[in-house]
Amino acid sequence: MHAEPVDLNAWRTLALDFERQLNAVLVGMPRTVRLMTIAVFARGHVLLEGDVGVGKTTLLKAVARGIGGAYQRIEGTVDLMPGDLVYHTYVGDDGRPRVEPGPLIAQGSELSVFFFNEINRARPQVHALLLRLMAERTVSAFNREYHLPWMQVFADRNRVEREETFELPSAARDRFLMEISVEAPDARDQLRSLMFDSRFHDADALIAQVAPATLDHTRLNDVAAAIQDTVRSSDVLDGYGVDLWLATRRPAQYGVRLSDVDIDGFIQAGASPRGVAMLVRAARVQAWLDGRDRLVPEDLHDVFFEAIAHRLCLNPVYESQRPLYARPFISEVLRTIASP
Amino acid sequence: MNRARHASFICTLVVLFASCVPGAGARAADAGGVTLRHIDWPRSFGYRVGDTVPVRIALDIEPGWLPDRDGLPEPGQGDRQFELRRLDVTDARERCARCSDYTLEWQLMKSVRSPQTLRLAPVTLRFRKGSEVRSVAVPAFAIDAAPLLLWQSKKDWIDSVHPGYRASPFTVSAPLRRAGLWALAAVALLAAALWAGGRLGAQAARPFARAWRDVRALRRRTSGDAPALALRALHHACNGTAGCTVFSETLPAFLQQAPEFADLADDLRAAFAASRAHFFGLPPTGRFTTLAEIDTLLRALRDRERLHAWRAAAVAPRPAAPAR
Repeated sequence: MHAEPVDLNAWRTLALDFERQLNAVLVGMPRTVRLMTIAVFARGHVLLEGDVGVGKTTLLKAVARGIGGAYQRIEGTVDLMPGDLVYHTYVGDDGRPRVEPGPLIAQGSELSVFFFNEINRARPQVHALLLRLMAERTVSAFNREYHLPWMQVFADRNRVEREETFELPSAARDRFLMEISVEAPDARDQLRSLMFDSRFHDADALIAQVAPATLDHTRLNDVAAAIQDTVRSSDVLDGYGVDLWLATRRPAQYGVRLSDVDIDGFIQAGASPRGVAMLVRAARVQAWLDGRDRLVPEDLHDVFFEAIAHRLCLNPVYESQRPLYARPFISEVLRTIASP
Repeated sequence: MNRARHASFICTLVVLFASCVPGAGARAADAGGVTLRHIDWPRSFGYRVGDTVPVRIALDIEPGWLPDRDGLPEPGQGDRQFELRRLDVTDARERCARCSDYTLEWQLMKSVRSPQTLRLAPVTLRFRKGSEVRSVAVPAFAIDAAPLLLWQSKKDWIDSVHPGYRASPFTVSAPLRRAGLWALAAVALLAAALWAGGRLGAQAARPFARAWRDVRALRRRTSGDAPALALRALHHACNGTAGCTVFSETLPAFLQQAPEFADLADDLRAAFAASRAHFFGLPPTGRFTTLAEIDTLLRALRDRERLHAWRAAAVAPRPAAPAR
């Protein structure tokens, strides 16, 4: 760990430059890029959601290049076992069996971005390993403890195919700072660029445009702590945050209404204390990126859906149609709760 | 001899007569130890059945003298005409140092059929000190009683209730009309004041009218939180008008939804910025820090809200007449 003081102004310039470079690579995704930047500086793990081929891997590789450090990726499959993350075995040229470190520990503590593709295809045993990994940033292998202090987990859920998938338990979902939606742009000229501009056809060349290690990944934990210490809240905003939290747990009591929904039975469990703490953590980074040292309601709004929606446990009647109800519900909470 | 007898007889009559005259008893009933000082007789006329007739007797009682057993009349005693309701004994220091007032309250029990003079019987009060006994005689007294009559009709009811009294009738319609007009004027004035203050009709429910009223009420507050409360009132009014929470970022959408406030957009933006500065600790903007500024903005918003409501009411289609 570094003991030298953090110059937050200089780091903010770096963060905005990092954001600018990502936006140059990823067409029409300014909000996604902003949320990823927030996640990087809040030191939170991220669930990614999006269709195939919309740029999730490109985004993650670009982020990893900008952060510096090592990048690893693993594909979730139904036969994936926890051991596959920490070691792999093979027969060497000399015909003797070999055991080598797996993707999690191959780079040691240098690992900064770990991408778990289609996490819901992996078995619950793998999810359990991931729980500890995300919470403690440590993993046990070869009779020792590996510390991964700068690692961030980015995971993708396959929402299209349901066969042979294992839905993430709520405890695992709750450990993700945000669930970010990655979508292809809507604007016609951007679609045209993606289609006809050859610059976007070669992902590796595109990612190479991002300056490597724009952010020093070994300083990010210190920067994140400094941001959380610097950006302050107020009594009124604290009250507003608590109201928002309670409205996700007891929406009827707070006057939240959804058409065609029995709001009394809509929510089985609202946001957890860890969830709202992460919400404020992300909101503080948003305020810092906007050049403020005080939180305002809009900071909470900017990250509320991504930080809270995936933590809500809906009634089974509505759970199967979560994409249909989650966003309107969050919007209604924000529309209903007043501040001041 | 006959003359002497006549003179003696006349003197006796004079003495007897004097003893019967009210007030004369005070002079005549000096029994020593207990002295009759004065009798307050009630009026002698205008009684009807059920009325009370109080007789107050002031006695100067030397120390040691107490009412004898059965020396005072008991409540409930009386004749067919009067009944003693109660006997009160009170100190009467204003008369003399040892004086007490004995008040006999008689009640007229007889219902007369025509105006009649009734005689209140004489009473003797007896006091004892050891073996010595003194009596005080309260002479008889006469009152005039009148009958109770049934109302023959509403027309002469005053005469029937109070026989002998002639009421002079007067017309009350003119004063009643005057009083009604004044009451009507007062109600109209009150309604006008309520309307002007925004407390009457549909405007009472309009968010900015309500907020402006609340802020006006804040002028009486001496605490320093009045501007903060006024800003809250402004926010509530915006939220009430929009039907959802209005934040700085959604203010443009609010103004698009409610274009009647568009000319106040700059002031609204400034007020919201001041609110953010006040409530969330941002640097102060210098505007909308006083109650008067917020009051002025809210009044302008209320005026536009009212104008918009009138226009909307004017162009609203009237309900179609039911088909015959």
